[in-house]
Amino acid sequence: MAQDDRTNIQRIAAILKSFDAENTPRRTQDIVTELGMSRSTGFGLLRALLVRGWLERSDHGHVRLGPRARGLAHAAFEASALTVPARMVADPRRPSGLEATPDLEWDPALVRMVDAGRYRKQAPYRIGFSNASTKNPWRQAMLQSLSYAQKIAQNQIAEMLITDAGDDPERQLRQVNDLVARGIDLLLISIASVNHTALSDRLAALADDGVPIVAVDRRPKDRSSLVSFVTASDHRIGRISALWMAEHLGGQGRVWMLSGLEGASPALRRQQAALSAFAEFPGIKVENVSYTDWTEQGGADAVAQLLGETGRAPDGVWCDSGLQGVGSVRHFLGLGQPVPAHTGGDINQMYRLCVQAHVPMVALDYPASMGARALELSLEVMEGGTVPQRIEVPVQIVLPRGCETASVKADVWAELHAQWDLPGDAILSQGPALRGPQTSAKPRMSA
Amino acid sequence: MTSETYAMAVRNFEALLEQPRSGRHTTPATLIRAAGLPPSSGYRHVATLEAEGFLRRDPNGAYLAGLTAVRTGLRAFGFGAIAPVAEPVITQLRQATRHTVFIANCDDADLVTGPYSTGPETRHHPVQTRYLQEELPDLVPGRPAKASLRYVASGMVRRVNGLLAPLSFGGEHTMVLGLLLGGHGSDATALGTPLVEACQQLQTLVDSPS
Repeated sequence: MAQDDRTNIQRIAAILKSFDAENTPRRTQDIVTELGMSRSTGFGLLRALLVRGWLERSDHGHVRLGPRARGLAHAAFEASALTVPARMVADPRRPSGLEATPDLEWDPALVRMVDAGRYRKQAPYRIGFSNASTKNPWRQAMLQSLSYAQKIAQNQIAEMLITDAGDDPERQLRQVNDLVARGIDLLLISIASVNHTALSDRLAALADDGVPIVAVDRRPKDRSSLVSFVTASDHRIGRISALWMAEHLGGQGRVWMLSGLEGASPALRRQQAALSAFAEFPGIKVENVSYTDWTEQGGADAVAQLLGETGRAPDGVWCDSGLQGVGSVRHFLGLGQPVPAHTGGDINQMYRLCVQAHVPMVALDYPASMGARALELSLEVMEGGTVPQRIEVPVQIVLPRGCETASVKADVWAELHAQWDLPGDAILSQGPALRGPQTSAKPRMSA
Repeated sequence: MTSETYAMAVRNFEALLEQPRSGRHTTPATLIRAAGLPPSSGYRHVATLEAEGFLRRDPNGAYLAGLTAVRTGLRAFGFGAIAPVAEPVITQLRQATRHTVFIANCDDADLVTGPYSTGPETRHHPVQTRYLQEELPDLVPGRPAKASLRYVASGMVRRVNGLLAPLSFGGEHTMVLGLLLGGHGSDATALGTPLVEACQQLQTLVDSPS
């Protein structure tokens, strides 16, 4: 290891990471030797860390993490976008019978862990990503997010091999075999089809051969071949959006449902969760369920057809994504009619339209940043850590100011979430990759 | 290199790690400026700290303390074993309860908070680094205890209610998993069940990770 190439910041990080879970005191000489530092540099840094309280002496020649290091534990797992601590007003139309009783969704199954110790290997790694497709803006955003994480972790990745199956499972099977033949250390996959037996069998065989496999966004039906799966909760997206709609309407009203792609599992799961939530409100009447192929035109066509059939606008339009929601909102705006309450986020244009036209709405973006999280997790697997079997990337609730209801509160205001300097079709949930040119400079390589 | 060189490296390290707590920074430039570092070395240091896991960025691009930083902090308490499972459990419990969830070290009346996730029901109570418990709660495994937590903000003494459940991993510190309670919308009885379940699960995961 070319230790002389490291910066002092890298050496400090290495020193602080060298203590075990119980903070067992270590001999200073051992730390310096293990991390490959010269005596002068090693002891110089240890002294500086002791002076500032990052380390503390426990015995002669022994140190451990100190009080300032304990301060690192105080950290938020997410940054709040709600920077103004003002009291928000819930929808005044909500009936008193719907007062907030938390809808406790605790699911212990979501935090099962797996010991990846048997995959431990020294960096850098060769990682293969078998992508289902890059056919829509969300999938492109997810790939950009992964690429961002790759740049950040470039000193841990010798090579990143990425393939695109174009939603063809046969092609994906060939690509997986090619990736394996090229000697990858870990396979990251977003499966093209959950029902393709040959692909599923191949993944099982690879797992038996000791290849660690991590799935992102879409997984095979049989998950036993996976070390872990990175996703987000479609159930939460469907349920929360329907709950908001029902509460926003005061438990009374006519709702049209515009789903995405017929037969696609995310569309089905969101729709089922929404229907289940609407069923809890006897005064909510779901008049129609349409499919829109997750396109703006599909959303506009569905609304036009329903308006023609019924002759009057509904009280609410539930969309499982803004991809079709944009078409619906635009259609109502084009007619010059008041726009009913809508649901559905993901793309920038949906937020901009709703904020500009004061359309009551709620959105839960399906996070494209799961691409970055999947790569980070893959590196944790290769380091042999204990990792969750399933990671649900948090889904934020986005609401315009004043649109909160008894049960549904904003994580982010729509007015702040909408990006006026970015294109309308930008996927906002891709994280820092959204503004690629502003990423950090390259770190100095250690090896 | 002189001792001042090493001291400066430590100060730069501290300055960059401090910024996510003191403000919202969505670009390396604003983070570096807030830390008072020159751009020439600042970009390199930020990239290094991201690569080492001491900094990370959330889905909106804002800088946060990285998971390695949190793990290092928990190790410093001797509770490194819960580090890998802290994020999924806290995040899931926050989503389930919509209340702010935290892990804290309980030292008599002092409650020193560790990693946390802010829930929408209690977002008006920013999590403090330290609280004083007005009365020492009876911390019994499997039973949530209500606690009145005092803190000083802007020169004024303030108070917020919390719900605590102990994590018993031994060692010289006592860790608790806690929820901040809001006003009338926080039903401590209903919230106690998922809190205790999460606590038990943390314990199980630490005892037998796979």
